[in-house]
Amino acid sequence: MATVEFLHIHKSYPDGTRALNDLNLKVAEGEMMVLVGPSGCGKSTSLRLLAGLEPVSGGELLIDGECVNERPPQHRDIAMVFQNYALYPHMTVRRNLAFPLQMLKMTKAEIAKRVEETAQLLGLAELLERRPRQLSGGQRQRVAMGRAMVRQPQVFLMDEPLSNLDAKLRTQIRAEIADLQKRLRITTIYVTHDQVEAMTLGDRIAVLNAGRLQQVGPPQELYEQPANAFVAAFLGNPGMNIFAARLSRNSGMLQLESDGWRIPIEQLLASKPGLEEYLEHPILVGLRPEAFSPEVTPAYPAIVVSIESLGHERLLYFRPAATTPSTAQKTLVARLSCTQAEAVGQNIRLGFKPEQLYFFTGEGEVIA
Amino acid sequence: MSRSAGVPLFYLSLLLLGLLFISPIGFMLAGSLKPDARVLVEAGDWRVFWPAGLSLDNYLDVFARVDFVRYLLNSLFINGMIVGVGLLVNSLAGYAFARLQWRGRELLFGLVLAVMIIPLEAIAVPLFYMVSLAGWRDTYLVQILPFIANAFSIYLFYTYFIGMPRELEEAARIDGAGPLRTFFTIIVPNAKPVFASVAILTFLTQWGAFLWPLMVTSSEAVRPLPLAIATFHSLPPLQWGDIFAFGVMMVAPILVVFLLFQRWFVRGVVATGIKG
Amino acid sequence: MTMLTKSTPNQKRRGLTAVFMSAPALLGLLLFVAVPFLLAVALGFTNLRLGSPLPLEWLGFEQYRRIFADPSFSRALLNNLLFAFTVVPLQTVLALLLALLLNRSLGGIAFFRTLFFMPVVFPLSLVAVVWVLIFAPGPNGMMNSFLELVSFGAWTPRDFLHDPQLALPAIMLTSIWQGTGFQMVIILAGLQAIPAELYEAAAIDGARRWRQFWHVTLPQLRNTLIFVVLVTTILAFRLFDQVQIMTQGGPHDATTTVMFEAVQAAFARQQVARGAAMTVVLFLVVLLISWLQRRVARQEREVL
Repeated sequence: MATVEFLHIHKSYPDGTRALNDLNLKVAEGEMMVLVGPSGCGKSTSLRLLAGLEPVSGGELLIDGECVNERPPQHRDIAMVFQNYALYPHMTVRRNLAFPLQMLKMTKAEIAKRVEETAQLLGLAELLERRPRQLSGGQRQRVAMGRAMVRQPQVFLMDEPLSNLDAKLRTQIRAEIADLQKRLRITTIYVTHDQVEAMTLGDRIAVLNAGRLQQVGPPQELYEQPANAFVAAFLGNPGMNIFAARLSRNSGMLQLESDGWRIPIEQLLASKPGLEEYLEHPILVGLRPEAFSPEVTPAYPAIVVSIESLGHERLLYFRPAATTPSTAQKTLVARLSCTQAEAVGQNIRLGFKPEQLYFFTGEGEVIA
Repeated sequence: MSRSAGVPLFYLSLLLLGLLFISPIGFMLAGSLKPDARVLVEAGDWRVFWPAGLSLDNYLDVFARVDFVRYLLNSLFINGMIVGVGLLVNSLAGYAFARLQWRGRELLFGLVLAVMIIPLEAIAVPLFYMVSLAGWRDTYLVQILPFIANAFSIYLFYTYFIGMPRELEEAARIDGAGPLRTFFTIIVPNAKPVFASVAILTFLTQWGAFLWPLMVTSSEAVRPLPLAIATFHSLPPLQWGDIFAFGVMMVAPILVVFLLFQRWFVRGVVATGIKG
Repeated sequence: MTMLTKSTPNQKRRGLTAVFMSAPALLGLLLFVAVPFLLAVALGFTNLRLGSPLPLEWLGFEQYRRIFADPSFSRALLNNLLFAFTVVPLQTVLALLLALLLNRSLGGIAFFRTLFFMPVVFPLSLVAVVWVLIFAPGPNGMMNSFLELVSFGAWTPRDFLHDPQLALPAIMLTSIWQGTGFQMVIILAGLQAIPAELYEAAAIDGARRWRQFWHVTLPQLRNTLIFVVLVTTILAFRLFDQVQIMTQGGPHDATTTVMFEAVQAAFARQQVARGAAMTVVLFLVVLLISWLQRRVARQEREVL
């Protein structure tokens, strides 16, 4: 078990792409840290740098307080699970598990013992003589986990380990990974683009975008107190609705630009004094899909654009409709229970509590 | 085309075409099994494919007239070395170009590609001059060494390795294997098709090597099979039955190699950049 | 940029390993291809003759002027061109037809594939010798009697390999026979790489076989065909073995080729420099063809 620290890490490629920009992140002992973000945000790069598969362009990587920049991968005491598992196709499961131990020059007896233990732990005992091609997706995933665990490394690195599985299996193995990690308490860095995975697995989540760290914190904190509009829109399923708006003193209203809704501001200013500064400035306003309800007043007019039924609930896509709706308007989404049935094109009214509004500067930083 | 009527018709036309295609081979095979005098006389009608008498005299004749075993061993040795050492040398280079980071890689690979289009024929004359100066003429070495490094083979290995999942090597790296060990324990076992197709391609082109051995060798002790058949052809008395028997024996090893590795060959063709 | 080039000791070691791994091959290519090639270029400008008492002289481009003034060489170049322009299209179309015929999963198809591939494993020298006999003069020659049979007796026997009009076509036929199978296998591989969905989509769109061929098969085979054509063209310019064995360039230069002329010059007449210069011409032709091929292929291929 160990701590991991990214200190002012930079990574750029010879062609000029900047994959990471001043990444600072500390992972505590035994913690499950999930790096999440859209593709190309630098999350996989962080993992590859830490693994030693690519050199950093600047900054320091610390494992247990020691700089490992110059160490080759095998001397960093880490293990990695790859998205496509990267099992050695020509080796049996047993030999796949034994390979990292052979590289450590362990004795045959010790290797056999460790392989057996790991196989038992992961329920692979029956599969030891098979080759990867004879295994199902879920079994391959387990072997990949096993190959990482068998070394008993200080740090686990997992690069989208579930994305090659079908939805049902993914949920199941996700739970297994969480359980395993809790039991073994091995420091784990887990990369995913799937925010559901991030929310359910992470002790803490680090959200990255365009090579920059956006926010780090426990899942609930990130969900409730996003540091910026990107985090707000990225987390949640679906993410937060973000739209442009302007606070106007003259009318005493929060005017949602091109969206027509006008919301009284006195109450808002009272609860969020920071807003005062932004009067008459373009700002961004956010509302979680969960915030909408047809029962809450005041309610605002909307026109239904489309409906996705999920069985126990519905996702209602709509345009605010104070005036004639135009295509220039942003489509918002509300998550509603299944008690009512609206039709596409229907005029409805949706309400939300003003304290559920999030405010961001024009650049997307949260307004406290 | 209606399937029911089409299939027999399809087979029939294929069979006719196939027979026409291998008729020269049938001619050779039949000719090798009948008395010399009849080879020419019967070439004008159906009896050309008829191995009258099924005599092995021609084969015995070959052994009596030239040291066939000597030529065969020469050819096997030369080709074995070129293919064997060539696979090792060229695959290592292909891997270094495809997967490792090193200074000068891009430039050198560009040069390898440029070298690929230089035909042996274009350098045969100065190469001959060089090996003559080095005193290598009439040796095995001079028939092997120049053909071990092969730009086309490097290119085929390169394209194959480039297409392999990178994670395989990264996993090996994290497990603690260096580049050489990764290559031999992880890459090679998973790259059989390309090794097979490069081996077959090299063997096919080198087994028939004619121009270069003709230039650099003069003694039977080191000459390969293709030269022996030319000797036969130009050495009176011209006995076609013997030549054919010789031909059959010359092709047999390569046919065996091909039939053994045919499956690999086609897979290799698909997997490597051969198809473009 | 200094940030980028900074490399750890570990990376340096890996780099060094890479150099070691590629060194044997690179050394071989340098010694046995690059150096002789540069030597060929250099020699080509001199008057070097093995065993000649004349002093070594720098001829410069005079050498090339002389070569191109030599009617035998011009004829050789012309023959190579004729050969390429006849054999390449014929052989490619034939190979494509065979591949299309054999690209189905019927019983025994593998047998036929092997059958058509068989000539490829025959060394050219052997092929040439067998075909010398096939082209034997007189009514008893196999080719003569075959032509007589299919023309219902209208064909009068000819001496193919000594006939100025027929000698080159005879060599062409020999080469096509030997080379088609190889092309066929490559095209087959290309055909099998075409996703079946494309044909299904075309069939749903109502395309019949012929249109499927034009709109699915050919475009998908484009790069395969370019490769096949390139290789065959290069081989056409390297033509030597068949000529040496079947006709010795005759009759009256009717079948001579650049390589045959170069070998004649360098070995029969000891004019090493002249032979080298001819091979340089050959290299330039091959270079030109490769360059053309790259240009055609570039649009669709990212790397190389």
